[in-house]
Amino acid sequence: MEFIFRKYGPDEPIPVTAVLRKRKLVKYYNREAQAAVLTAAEFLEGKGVSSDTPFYYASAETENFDSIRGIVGGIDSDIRDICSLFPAVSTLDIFKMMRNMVPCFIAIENDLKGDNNVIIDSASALLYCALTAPTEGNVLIGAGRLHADGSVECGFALGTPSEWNGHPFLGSGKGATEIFELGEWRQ
Amino acid sequence: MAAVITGIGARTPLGCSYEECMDTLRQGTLCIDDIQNFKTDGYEMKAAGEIRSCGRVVHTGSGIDRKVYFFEQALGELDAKTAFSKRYKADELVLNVGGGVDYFDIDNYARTKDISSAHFRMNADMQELCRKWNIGAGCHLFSSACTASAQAIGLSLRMLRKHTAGAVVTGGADSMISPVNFLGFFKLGALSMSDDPSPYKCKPMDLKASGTVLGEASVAVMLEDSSRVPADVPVLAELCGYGCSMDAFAVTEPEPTGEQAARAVAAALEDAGISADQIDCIHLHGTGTPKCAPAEYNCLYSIFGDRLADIPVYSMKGQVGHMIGSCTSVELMGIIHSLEHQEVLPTVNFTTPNPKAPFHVVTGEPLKMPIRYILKLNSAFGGHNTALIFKKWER
Repeated sequence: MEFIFRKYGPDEPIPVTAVLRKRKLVKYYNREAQAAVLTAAEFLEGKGVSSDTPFYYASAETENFDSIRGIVGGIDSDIRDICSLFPAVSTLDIFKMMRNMVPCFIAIENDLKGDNNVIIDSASALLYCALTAPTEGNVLIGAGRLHADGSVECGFALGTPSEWNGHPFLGSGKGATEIFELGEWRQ
Repeated sequence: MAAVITGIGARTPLGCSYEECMDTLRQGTLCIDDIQNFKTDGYEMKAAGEIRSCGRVVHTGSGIDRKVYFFEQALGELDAKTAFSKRYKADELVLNVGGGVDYFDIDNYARTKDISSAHFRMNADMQELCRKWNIGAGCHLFSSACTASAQAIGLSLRMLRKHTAGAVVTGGADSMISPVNFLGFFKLGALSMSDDPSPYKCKPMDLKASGTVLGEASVAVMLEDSSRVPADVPVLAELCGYGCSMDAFAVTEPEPTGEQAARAVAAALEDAGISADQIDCIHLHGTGTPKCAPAEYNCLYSIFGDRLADIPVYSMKGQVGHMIGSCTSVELMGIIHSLEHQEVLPTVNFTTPNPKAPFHVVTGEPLKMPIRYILKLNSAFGGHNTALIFKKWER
């Protein structure tokens, strides 16, 4: 099994455009998407992962405030009146709020068309997806966490379903990025 | 091992219990109207399917995340029906639920102007519900937009088969009835703007489909191994196949040839161990958006060929709207209706066939027919495709 885990500081540049095949989508990327797409590109380089490889991704339920700030930041009146929200809302920010966009971008970039799922934060859910994947071949799993200060961490792993048997985070309340921070483990 | 559905707890625009939902569904009552839970003055599009009880919209105060609020009620109903929290040990029970876009407490933000007060709590709230209902082997939320609950249900099937769970409480919980979420979907250009002759109507598979209508629902579904179901607990349906795929094509629109969606259907058929010839009717995603029906048609034609013209299809969204992250769990009730009553319901608001998607859409009266296997399709923003296959339960 192979792992990768990366962290980016609050103001640290994430040079994702250098690896993109479809650059026009980058306007939809939040910092988690930037970090995850870049890390996935680095991780999958030269591995020859086929397009039907199952891919499961977990996005943490944390402080995705940059998108919310973009949506409501300019509001100072009675915001129960939806009309007052209208001019402030950017379609791009809506995409940044949708948790399945990060794996969508990774799938588009790497032509991943297989079995898939999108998880909110849970290491356990991500591991059960991998463990029960409809293949005996490799499964790609990944996770990202965006913090309020703009720092971001993400990780990926490639392994067969049976390799996740007995992982200590199955059934736990751990966050998904902790799988990759832990890396190799022993039963 | 057969994975069977033994109970449903539901809070939807159809009603505030499983039985009320099934009654309203059968009657074909339209459950979409102008939004009552927040002000929409001056807004071009005002309609949605809000959760109702006895036909009246259920109001909640500000600061309430409606999807979690109603899911707790749905769980209570499910436990009263199936006694899951007593029949299974905590370390056997898993929660797999499809959710949606985070709830943002806009009233609190208006008062405090503190962005950090907008803490997204769905995971924490669901973990609290797990503790309350004795679910101790995993609290799992999924968020692939419109396929979130389909993927939650599909994973539940796989977990039962691999014996990684004794039983699973699955389903979906989502609400677009908040100003930020509702406006977001409007800005994406996904909502119905048709004013001829039926303003705001969601018109699945119809030539005049102009967009969808949003809704909300929380549905808790009990999925368990048939061998562990007591004799006095009724089985509503068997879930026998699941497949999914990714378009890897675009962010907001389906891959128009339906090729990847067809791979999900093929995987589900293989998983169920049946051929396409054995599918009796199809419950579509049927969002009422112009690009949805042709993509679904192309997908299904590649599987069923000319026989597709004879297979009755159905979409519930014309009646209740689109529940996004919980839509499959709501639409499960349409499947159970078809299996129990051996009929396909008419699709509400369908009037004009679409030559790009010439489905056999049932209109007028329900179509009586023998139904053993039903295919359920869903797809999502981002390119996720799911196919589930349900079977009439035969003990």
